[in-house]
Amino acid sequence: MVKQPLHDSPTRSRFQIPALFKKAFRDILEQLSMVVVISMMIMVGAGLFTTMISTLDSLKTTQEAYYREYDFAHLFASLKQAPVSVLQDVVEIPGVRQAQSRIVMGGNVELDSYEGAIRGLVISIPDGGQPALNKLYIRDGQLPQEGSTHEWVISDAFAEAHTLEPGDSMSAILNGRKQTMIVSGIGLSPEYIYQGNPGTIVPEFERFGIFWMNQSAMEGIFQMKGAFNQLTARLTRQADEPQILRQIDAILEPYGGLGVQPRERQASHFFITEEMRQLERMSSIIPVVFLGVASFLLSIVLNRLIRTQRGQIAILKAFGYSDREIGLHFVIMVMVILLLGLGGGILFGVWLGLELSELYAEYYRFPFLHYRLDPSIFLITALVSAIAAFAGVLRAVYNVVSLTPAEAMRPESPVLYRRSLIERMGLQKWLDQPMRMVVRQVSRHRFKSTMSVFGVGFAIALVMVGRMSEDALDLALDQDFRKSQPFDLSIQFERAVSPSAEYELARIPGVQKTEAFRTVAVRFSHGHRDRLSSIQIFPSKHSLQPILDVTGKKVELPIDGLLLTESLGEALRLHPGDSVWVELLESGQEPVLMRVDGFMNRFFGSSGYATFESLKYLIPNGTALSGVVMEVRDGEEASVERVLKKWPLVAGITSTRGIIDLFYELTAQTWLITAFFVSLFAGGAAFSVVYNNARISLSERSRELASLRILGLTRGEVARVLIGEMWVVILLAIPIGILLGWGLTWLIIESLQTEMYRIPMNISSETIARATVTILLTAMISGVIIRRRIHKLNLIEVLKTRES
Amino acid sequence: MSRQAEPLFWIEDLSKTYDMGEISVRALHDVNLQIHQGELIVMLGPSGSGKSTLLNILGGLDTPTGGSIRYQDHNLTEATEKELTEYRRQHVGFVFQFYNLIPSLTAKENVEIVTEIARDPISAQEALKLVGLGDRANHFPSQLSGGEQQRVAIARAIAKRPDVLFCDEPTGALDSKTGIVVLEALSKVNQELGTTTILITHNVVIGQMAGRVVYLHDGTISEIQENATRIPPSEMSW
Repeated sequence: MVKQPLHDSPTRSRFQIPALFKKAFRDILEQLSMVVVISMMIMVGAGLFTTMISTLDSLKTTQEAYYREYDFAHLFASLKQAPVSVLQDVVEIPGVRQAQSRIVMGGNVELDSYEGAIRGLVISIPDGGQPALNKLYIRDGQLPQEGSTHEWVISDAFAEAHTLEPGDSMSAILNGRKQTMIVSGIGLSPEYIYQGNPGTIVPEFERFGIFWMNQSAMEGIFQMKGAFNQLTARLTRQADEPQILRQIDAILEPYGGLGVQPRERQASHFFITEEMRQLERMSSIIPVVFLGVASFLLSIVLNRLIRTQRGQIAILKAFGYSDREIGLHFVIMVMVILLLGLGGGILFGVWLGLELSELYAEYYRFPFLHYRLDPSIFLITALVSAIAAFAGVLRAVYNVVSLTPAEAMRPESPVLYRRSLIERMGLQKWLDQPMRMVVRQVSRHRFKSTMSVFGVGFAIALVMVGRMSEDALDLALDQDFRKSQPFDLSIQFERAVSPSAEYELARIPGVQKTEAFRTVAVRFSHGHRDRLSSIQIFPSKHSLQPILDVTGKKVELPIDGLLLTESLGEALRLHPGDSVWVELLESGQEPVLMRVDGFMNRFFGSSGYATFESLKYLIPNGTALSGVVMEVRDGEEASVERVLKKWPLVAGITSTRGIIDLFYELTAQTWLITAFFVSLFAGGAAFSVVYNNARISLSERSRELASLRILGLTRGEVARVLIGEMWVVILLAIPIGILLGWGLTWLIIESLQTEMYRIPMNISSETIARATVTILLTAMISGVIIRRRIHKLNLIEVLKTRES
Repeated sequence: MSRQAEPLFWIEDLSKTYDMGEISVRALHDVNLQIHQGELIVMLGPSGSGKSTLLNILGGLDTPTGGSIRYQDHNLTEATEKELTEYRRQHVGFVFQFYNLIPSLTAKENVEIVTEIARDPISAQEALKLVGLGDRANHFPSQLSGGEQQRVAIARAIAKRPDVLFCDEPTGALDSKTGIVVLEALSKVNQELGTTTILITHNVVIGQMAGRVVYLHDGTISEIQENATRIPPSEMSW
């Protein structure tokens, strides 16, 4: 076969890259350090965007599929006890498609291989079959045999934590009786995607499990023949949910109804929804920070490049290149940077998205994961990044094309030097000649200097934002857990018990101090707004459970009346001094009106606070305890816990320190990695701004600097002129950067506030120190490199070149 | 084509005033000149005499503020930026005092940047050969001497086969020996390719190689001198 050349014109016999493109590529190579940094910024921005959006998509798709396929209920109602026949009344409500009654009880589990206390939530399922709602996904094994009383399905996270398999056995204390249970299967439920142990912030899979047993077995154990204490329902599409909620409430009221919760307030659903909401908000902020910095740096680079290439641009115009062609060649440079960043970013984003989705699937228990990567994500990512990139360079490119060729031929008219502000203030006697040059140089190029200061400032802000969550959680955990829970162990009882229990607990060897508490489930209502919540009740003198607000100040409980968390007050539109209706859900008695004395700000949770004294007469059995917190002598925690495990009424034992340790264990590594990368990027950004500044100054002013050398100044003195300029920028940038970092952090945190928890705005001095040190180190490295370049300055050559 | 034919450029009462805020500077006034196909004109005058301004207007880099200038059937006085770009692209070549090569491109690529957009160019290699730099094609500007760089600039200017070549102080930055080599290249282009060449300088000696010498003073033409014989650059010295 004979190969034909594509073109047979003698001058262009083969495909050639246009010379203008070659110029563009070589200009890029010339600016390599800056190009790499900007590409990296775009990469991180685009990558995080891809990660967050794809993770969000995956979570949503997975959640929807799971809910649909396993019939997740719309309503959840708890009550004391009701005959199964009541279910029929609920099913008959128009709009209710399906309803399922069940028994849900607490229990304790003991494993030979594990020392600690294990709390179990035991849920009934119809004998030998799946429930109509909230079906189980059986990962391994099977449902209990029909009629079996000693088999159950255990939650997969718990099984994983203790490496349990079908056929394994364990002891369970159910309704005060110890019995041996055999694992028939390992399962997951759409109801427990998030498996938080009540009162903790991270799921403790070792200490908390969910167990599904035959209905008949539970009826026997808990003496609830033909009765139930929980009801779940699924509604039709057109159902009037608030109306149905009221109807079910009315039906269950005589049976000690504790209020119907819509799906929106179901713990697991609520947590995942919140998580997704945060992810969604983060996806619109964090990537924008990086892309914004990229955009900013790009504009610095391009503006400078264009300034140094005025002559070249003029020549191109003189040769008849159109504005469009010249503009396009700068656009190509931006495109290359953009594509580099985007390509890397999407790869990085997909990888991180997969990792993150898997992490979520681990933390939240999904039976499967639909990792979704909608191609439109790429399109959106590309678009967002492109907008950011071009936003930064439009002005620069516009400036080029608006130059007339003859104007571009002339060197930029020299800038008017003036005595700087410092000199006008009469401070010049403190400055030697090189320092005066520095000060004049900086104040002469105001725009350039301002841009540089902000460029470095953004780098500082970036380091600070990178440590935002660490600082916020440090403070929140410190306030809400460490400081307001100075006890060692917290014991929750199965049900409210007599105050004498506290004295018995106090006698356990090793226990130094005890303090009681009570938690009652309530419905607060004010006007047409209501919230299901709880009241935490403490003794009027309480030192193991101080109530602290976000500022760390100790809040005194009013003798009578109520304190509410601010988020709850806001949700109910309450003001101090207002009265609120409090309905105690357990007792079924009429609501009482209580005065709201004030609000307090807490990071986690939303509830009311009161003393035993103020509620003694308002609630039946007013002095009973829900639990006791205790201080334990050092090193005796384990032995105290062993004793407590044997106590029949103990439903749960939590150790604050354990929770915090676990939390840090889970997050510390992630934080470390994040902080490392963010510092690296921020350092890179600062370096490229600082170094390029000096590099361009060096080439623009080489003649001036060489003249100084010829006049007898040493290399060190000449270096001071340039490096001095750099330090002025750095020193101005530090306070501005800290302000920028503060602003950015505030912006992000404000957008993440929820009713469930407040994220504190906390910038630790360590964060500020780290950001400052990162920038100072960067400046020092730049200084060394600049000094080396100045040393290489060839005097004769420099003076021979054209001045302008 | 004979000298008596329709002139290539027709300039009448041309003026240019720069508005610099409060003051305005009159750079050119009452300039009248006709330039014919194939001519080599040297414009002489001290700094500030307006020769560069005139060259810029002739080359379509700038527009006059008064009078008229015509190139063949193009009216450059009222041309839009787009038309001027097209005029420069198709008809004009430039050589500048400081060569103005693009430092990131090799000699050959510097020429190609023009041949790529021209309608009927000679090859970049050929253009470089014409100025005696055939063997330096792949060198970057920083690897070339001043004279070599200026010859690359000439090759770049002539590669598109321009109708007119404008040279603004082409030897201004060179020593006399190198300057003569550059002028020889220009003379060769003028004679062999018939390219109309307009060269501005303040070096009187260079006027000897022109057919006509136009003297500018204070923004207007003070004298036009016709040379009976043109002296080749190799016989000049300064």
